[in-house]
Amino acid sequence: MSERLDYILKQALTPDQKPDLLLNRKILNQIKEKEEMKIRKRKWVPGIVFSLVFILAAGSGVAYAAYKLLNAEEAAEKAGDEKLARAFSGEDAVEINETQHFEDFDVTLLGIASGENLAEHITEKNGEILSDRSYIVTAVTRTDGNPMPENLSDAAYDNMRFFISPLIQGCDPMRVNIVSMDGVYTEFVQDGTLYRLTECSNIEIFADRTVYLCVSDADQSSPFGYNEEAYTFDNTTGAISRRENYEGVNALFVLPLDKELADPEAAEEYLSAFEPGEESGDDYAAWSREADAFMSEITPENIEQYADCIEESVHVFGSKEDEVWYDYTMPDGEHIRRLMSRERVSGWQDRHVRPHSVF
Amino acid sequence: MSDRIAYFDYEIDALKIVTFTLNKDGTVTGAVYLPRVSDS
Repeated sequence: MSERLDYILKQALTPDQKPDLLLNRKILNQIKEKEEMKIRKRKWVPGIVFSLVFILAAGSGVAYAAYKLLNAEEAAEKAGDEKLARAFSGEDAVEINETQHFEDFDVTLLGIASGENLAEHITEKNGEILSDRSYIVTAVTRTDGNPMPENLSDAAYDNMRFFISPLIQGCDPMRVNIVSMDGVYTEFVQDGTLYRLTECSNIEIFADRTVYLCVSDADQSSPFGYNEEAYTFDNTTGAISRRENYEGVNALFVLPLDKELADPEAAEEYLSAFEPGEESGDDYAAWSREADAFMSEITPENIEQYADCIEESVHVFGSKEDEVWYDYTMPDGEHIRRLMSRERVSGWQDRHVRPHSVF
Repeated sequence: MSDRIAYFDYEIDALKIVTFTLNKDGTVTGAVYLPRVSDS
């Protein structure tokens, strides 16, 4: 009964035209203020849904996302980051709730938050803490009403890998995307919906350009790389577009960034590392695709078949150590430093989350 | 020794895989792996 009702509501509310984003946000914020506690404390019941839909249907095509999904704050909380959850309810965040529909999946961009030290969980690269970051929450649901598999290592996910990344107008998306922008993501399944919390370098410095978020099927040859069959890049204008005849998921959102936060000089400096011909440009893209392809074969169960453990690197942390730096110096002198957070390790296992940090 | 590998990440520049494994006794094992397959 509820699935049928879901279907009817969804069909009725699927927009023919994109509603005004600010109006959506205003309405959603008003609803949130009035209904937040009710929604969070109760499970989904038709009565509540009807009352919300009635209000939202007048001006919004995103009602389905509004009543059914976690919001960005709740998703961050579920991912185990209370500090980030607070950031998503503060001034550094923009609540979006825009859904794009595809044959097999609905993709919703829930919200974005950017700034210095917004998250509890630290991301570091080669021992350096990356503190100025953007965090983007997306949700993916199946259109056939079936839930996404609870366990992300489930073989069923082999055909449900998604590439989610900010893309920047004027920058070749093959070269500048989540992989090269120090991206990390965490994902989990809640009530049949796949949520992904993506973080990368702060993209607000690009706010004077169009900044997109793409959500596509993963490239079969490189599940963690940009899928160029799903989008087009106009070399003249720098615009990125959905490839209309693409059969699959190729969502493309425009991120509502505050243009006043743009920093063209910082953006220029940031992008200089990705210029064509530089070793870190074309070669990096090829390298990353190769590495991604390799990593796509790695699972917790088969890692021993593909890689050798450096015995000297093995370090056992005691059962009481909650958050400790893991350090190891490679034979060639390179220093590897990672944060071992017990909460992250055990929390991810409990929630069947299998994150990949891409550095 | 362990239940499973709960978390791993990697560096692309010179592929290295860092794993954190939650063990049955509550300890956590950190380790670095190097790919066995060459990049050819």
